[in-house]
Amino acid sequence: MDDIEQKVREIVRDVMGMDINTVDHNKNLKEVEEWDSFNNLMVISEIEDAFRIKFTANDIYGVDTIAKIISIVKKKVGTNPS
Amino acid sequence: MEQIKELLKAKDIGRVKSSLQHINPSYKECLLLNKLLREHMGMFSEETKIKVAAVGSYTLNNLQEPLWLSLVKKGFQPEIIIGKYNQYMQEILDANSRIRKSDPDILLVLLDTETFLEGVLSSLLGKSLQEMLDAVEMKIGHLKAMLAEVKRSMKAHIILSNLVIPYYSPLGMRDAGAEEGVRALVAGINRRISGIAGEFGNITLFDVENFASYWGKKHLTADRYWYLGRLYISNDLSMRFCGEIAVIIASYYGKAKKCLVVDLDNTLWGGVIGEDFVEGIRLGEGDPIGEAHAEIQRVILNLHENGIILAINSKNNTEDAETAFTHKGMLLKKDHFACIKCNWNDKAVNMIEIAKELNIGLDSTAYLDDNPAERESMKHKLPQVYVIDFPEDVAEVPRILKTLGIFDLLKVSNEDLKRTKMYLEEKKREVLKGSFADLTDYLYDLCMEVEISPLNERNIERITQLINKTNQFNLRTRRYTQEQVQAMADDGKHRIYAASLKDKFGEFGIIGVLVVEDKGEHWFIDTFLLSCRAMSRGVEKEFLRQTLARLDGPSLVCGEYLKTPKNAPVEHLYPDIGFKEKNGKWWFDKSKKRLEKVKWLKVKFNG
Repeated sequence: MDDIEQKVREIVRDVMGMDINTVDHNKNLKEVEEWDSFNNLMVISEIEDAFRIKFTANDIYGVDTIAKIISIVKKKVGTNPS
Repeated sequence: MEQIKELLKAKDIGRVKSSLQHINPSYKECLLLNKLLREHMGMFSEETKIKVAAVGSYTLNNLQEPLWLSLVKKGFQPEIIIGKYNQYMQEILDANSRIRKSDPDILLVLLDTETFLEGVLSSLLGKSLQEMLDAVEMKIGHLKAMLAEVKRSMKAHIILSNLVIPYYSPLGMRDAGAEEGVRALVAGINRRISGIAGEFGNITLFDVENFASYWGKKHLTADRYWYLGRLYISNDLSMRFCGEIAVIIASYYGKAKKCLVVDLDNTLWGGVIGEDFVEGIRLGEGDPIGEAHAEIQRVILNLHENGIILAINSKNNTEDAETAFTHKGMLLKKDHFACIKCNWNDKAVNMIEIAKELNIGLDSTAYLDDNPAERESMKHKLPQVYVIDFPEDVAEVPRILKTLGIFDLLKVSNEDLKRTKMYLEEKKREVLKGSFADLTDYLYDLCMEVEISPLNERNIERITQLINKTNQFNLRTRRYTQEQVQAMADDGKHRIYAASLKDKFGEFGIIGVLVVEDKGEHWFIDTFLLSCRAMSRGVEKEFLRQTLARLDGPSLVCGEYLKTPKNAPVEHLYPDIGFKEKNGKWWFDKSKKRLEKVKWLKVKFNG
């Protein structure tokens, strides 16, 4: 697991207050009990601050797995070195 | 944040509360701070418990934590229940909903223009004005029916938002001034909403339109969160938004500040009166700094007109300070101040004396001073005092005072307007006190008259206000909303009485409340309180004696003293007037004994 993956998982864990080890990268988040649309926004907002990037509404709408979040972050961090 | 952490660790609740007044956390800082505060909630156990439910036309989830913090700042132990997105009609009309079952003390009804007027605004162009007004009328009809259901089935006091006037109109520039325009339509609805608030009596209006105008409609809503989750209030403004709500709730519970204490030099005017003299101070037109100080005085004068007591706490020679009142730019006159301390004492010492002379708690006072060292010292020595921020640039101060939101300006009762006048009269009474042989002489000479009346529609507002703000002379400190008071009056078991007082110097208005409940074998004194302004005159004894004498039914009367940090003055009230202790309560049998008459009081009993 690289740094970005590690950081994303930590943020999801902190915002949702859940045991992240039980959640597979490819698990559909809608099936996770603690996940709802409001928590989703909170997670994204934390990630934006942590990596200094900005998700569009469409990016956020498309988020349904942790893997998806990580891939968006990697894409944006790559094009957006700060 | 770090400072609050330290203070929490040191269990210094006074300074924790004072520090909380001066922070403006971001949404994220609020989440962290709340987590920290929740770990130490035991320290807040003396604060007023309150249950607030919010329902509305948009997603309210991001208001939960900011509202919790805003209410903690105002001295509550809050519990917040958040309704679902645009489910407010169902959540109120369904007796089994989570909101209805939670039975909150306060119900927030929060509306956004777009959702509330769904179907009306979207197809504006094809509609006649009459069609539009008919559609609006239907929406308002629904809202009224919902509010009527709240009034019928819930004890909650309602805080109802109005609608933000949209910055966009399908009519474009033609909207300005057009009768059929969106802005005219929404402004009209807002007038209807204030009308409804007035009509219902259990509703306080939350002017969201004014809030949005001040902070900017562009910032009110975060674009993408609106489309993603119908969040209407952006996280950036959620703290400010909830702060406004907390001001309304605090005022409703009588927790707002009653007194503003001001410094003089470089606060009421620019310059130092003792060095610059009357001719040299900067105040009034023709000088930007003088104009800012004049505006500060105008805002303070307006507070006075709204019933806030004013006092002066300044390091000055009294004679120097007095000369300033001859300046033609002085809007504030000496008579506007109920108490003046111009001396070289420590300002905290002065502050304690001011509170004592005005017979108010330090936690009812706010303090305005340009000197940062004095402000810091005051915060440190008297954390109960609300110290107002005074930036380096005096030009910012008028706006800060105008948007402070700590004073009770919500419901200015006639009693409040009389307040400063009464304190001035009290001063004359103090002078009189010095010239009598003993206290009884003095009390006779005051020619006091007490009038006792059962609860009615004219006194219910003041009775509720006293129930919620009286701390010292309050035997059980039960807090009730106006709706609860009315419910007690209607249930056939309770009797509620108000006592008002006047003397030769003026009227005090309603100063005492007594609530008794018929328990079958005895009368139980549920509430017995007296405004601190009327203490030490024997009024409480005559109030109790006259009222008990007129109660039918059981002759046995039971009273109870529940200790709080503030009501030590009445700890021995029941034994002092002849009640006997049994099982932790105080008992008195009317058929066996009489309460002693207070000879210097004339009493009139209505009904």
